Amino acid sequence: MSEALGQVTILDGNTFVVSDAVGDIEASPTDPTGLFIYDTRFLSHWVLTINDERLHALSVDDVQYFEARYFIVPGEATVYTDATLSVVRQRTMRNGFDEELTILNHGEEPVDLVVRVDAGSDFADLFEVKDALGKKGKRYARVEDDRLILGYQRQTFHRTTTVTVGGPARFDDHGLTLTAHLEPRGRWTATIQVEAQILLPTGENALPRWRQGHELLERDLNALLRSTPKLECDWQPLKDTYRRSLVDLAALRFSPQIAGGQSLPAAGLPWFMSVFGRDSILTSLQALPFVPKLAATTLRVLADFQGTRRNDHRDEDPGRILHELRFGESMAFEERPHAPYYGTADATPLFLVLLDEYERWSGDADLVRAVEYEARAALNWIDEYADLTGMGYVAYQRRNLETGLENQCWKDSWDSISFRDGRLPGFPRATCECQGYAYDAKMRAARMARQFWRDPGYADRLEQEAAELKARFNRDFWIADRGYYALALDGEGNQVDALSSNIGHLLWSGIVEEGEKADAVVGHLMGAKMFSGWGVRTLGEDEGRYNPIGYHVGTVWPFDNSFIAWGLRRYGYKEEAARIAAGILDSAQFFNGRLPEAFGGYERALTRYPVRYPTACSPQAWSAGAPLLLLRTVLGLEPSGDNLVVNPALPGGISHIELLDIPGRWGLADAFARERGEMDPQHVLHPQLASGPG
Amino acid sequence: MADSDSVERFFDELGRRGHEPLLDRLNSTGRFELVDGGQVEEWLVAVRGGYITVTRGGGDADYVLRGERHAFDRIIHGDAGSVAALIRGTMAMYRKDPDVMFGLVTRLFAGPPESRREWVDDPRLVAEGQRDRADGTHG
Repeated sequence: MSEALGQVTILDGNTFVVSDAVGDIEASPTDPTGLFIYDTRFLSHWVLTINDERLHALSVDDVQYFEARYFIVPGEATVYTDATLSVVRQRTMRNGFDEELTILNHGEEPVDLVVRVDAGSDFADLFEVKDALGKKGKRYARVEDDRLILGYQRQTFHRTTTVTVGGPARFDDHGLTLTAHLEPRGRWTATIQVEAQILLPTGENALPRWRQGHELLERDLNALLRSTPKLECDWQPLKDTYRRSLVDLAALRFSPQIAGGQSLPAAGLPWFMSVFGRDSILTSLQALPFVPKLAATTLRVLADFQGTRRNDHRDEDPGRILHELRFGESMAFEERPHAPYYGTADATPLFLVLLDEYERWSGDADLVRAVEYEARAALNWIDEYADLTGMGYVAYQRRNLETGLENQCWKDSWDSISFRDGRLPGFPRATCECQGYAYDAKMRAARMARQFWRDPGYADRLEQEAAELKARFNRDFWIADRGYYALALDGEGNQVDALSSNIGHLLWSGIVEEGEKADAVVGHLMGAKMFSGWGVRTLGEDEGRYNPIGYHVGTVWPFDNSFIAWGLRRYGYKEEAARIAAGILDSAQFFNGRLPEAFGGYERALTRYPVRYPTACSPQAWSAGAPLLLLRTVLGLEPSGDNLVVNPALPGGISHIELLDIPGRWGLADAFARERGEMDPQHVLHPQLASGPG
Repeated sequence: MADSDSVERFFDELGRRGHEPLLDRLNSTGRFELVDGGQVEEWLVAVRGGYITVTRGGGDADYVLRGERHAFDRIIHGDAGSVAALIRGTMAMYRKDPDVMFGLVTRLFAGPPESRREWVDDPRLVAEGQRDRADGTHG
């Protein structure tokens, strides 16, 4: 549902429409409103008038992610109560979108109306919208008998938007006009279709008519919801959040032609509706017990596009897993490197982690065998290409100095990696969590080598290397007098000493030495400097660059917390994991069950609600995945051979959870969890799970 | 700009590479249609179990890659990206077999192993690839 009748977004994979609450689109050059397909804006202007009058919104119904119904009336907001006309504008994703206009005459007199839709497109590339760049090709508008064609051409790059109407209409270069006659209490309907085309030099449309409209989408969504585990629980908000997460993941599924009709998660709306190595992998990991198919497609697509050669523009190396794949004009002309761009230090080890975890859940050994070459090339990348300082660590430094990414870890903003005093380190940078991922990747690859690749010698070697990496890491990254791991090593091997949430990922990877070091790390994560009451902050409160609304320097990221909670479970800190789950699940209620990308790092006791981060993407795939991973974590779900082990530790306030029909190599399994301790009745009735840090 | 020999050299090298583990999963035949003015030059590239056979001329294929010869020349030299060429419209791919993945097809343009720069050729990789073939791999 829309908040306060703000922007309305409907989507189907990487096709999406962002409009105002009336359904109108009036895009400014830098504003992500309009119809976007494959990173190109196909419609930037779409305004409805009736008898030259604009309309205003009564309400919007966008319960289905792929369609919206706008209830609108003519005139200014102050006079709507007098309106004798009302309009329903129903918009559904299709090969662009279909829009059904229905006008109702509530009056006693017949009316004749001129219904006008102004249409235009700037064919902006999403990067142009983001960075306000100009156009280099030629735009045109052309009327044919029964249609308006808006087009853009730059050499062989040709995109069009065709507007047609099911019925009589007059077209001109700026839109279309319909006339309507309504009897008293009468009703009038027209359907307008907006269709996007990517034209080949032969004139053929390269975009498949890949959707047959909402009937198919609805079936698809229902099928997905039917195939996911059923959740029963005595705390209703968890059920709401769970359903919202599944619907959002369904909406963010993206079936580019390169995936051969299969779906993988796009990263987030509106800027990140594409394949991202890191985001697609982490979301697939979060969703494994619920929607395992996402992992299979993610692995196949990322394997297919694995780097094969050195290319500085794309920051590509042999064996490197891609960071981002885009399809817009600036990629076509290689003004931007994202076709695909490889500048990420973590996607390659994480690819191996997902491959192993996917097999442990699904038993799909065929995939592990099929991508053996790619898995070995990924391992080779870790040793031969990522070790930029020769110290035996995965490090990054961009070679594309113009448009490459400076920070190639998940905290990819410019100031995310800093010393305690706020200084920024030099390059190459080796962030701590990447070493954890590399360690985990080698341990897991050893299992795959032994079990599926029939290469026990290789397995032994990988385990040996992993053990050496762990020892080296615990020596070089550990800051003894502060009791935590450095955020990174800089190019000279100096410890970048800020206290950060990255140390939580280390628990997930298993690179932390048990005992004192693990205890100290957990103490920091759950301490007042890091834990806000809602979750673990990206950066500690005492650090030089800390800012509670700084993108990667103080906000709380639900996805980050879900992996930290998983890590706490791995090391046996059940209660701490449950506390993080409680905080994040509580916060979801303030966002109608839809966790944003990030929210403010303010103390919970201070604000009493999680403060919205100004430009956070929503829905965001790994935020939608966070409640799923938290659910796995509190239930303690873990594959063991061909069985699913359940070892719950529920947050206070939830006394039972049932998760039924969990798919996996065991077929379908059920998980039951009941809190055995004394229930505090007040706690159960309390709308929130945890009232603060304690 | 297009050096007519460099395209021939590309296909010639591809055909003589023998086993190419990068292509183990491609298992399909592609027809390359290179347009040069009014002329269309055709090449058939068949990959089975990572082994490549190149034939000059047309024939049945699972997919067709069609584009300007000079644009193709830029791709095989690594001056232009193949995904970018597809988005730009200088190259088009037609699939008869929907299971042919473009990502794998782009690997035909990786160049010979020695040209991938700093690639540490690991003999294990080749050996593994050959063993895979005996198992039959997924395409």
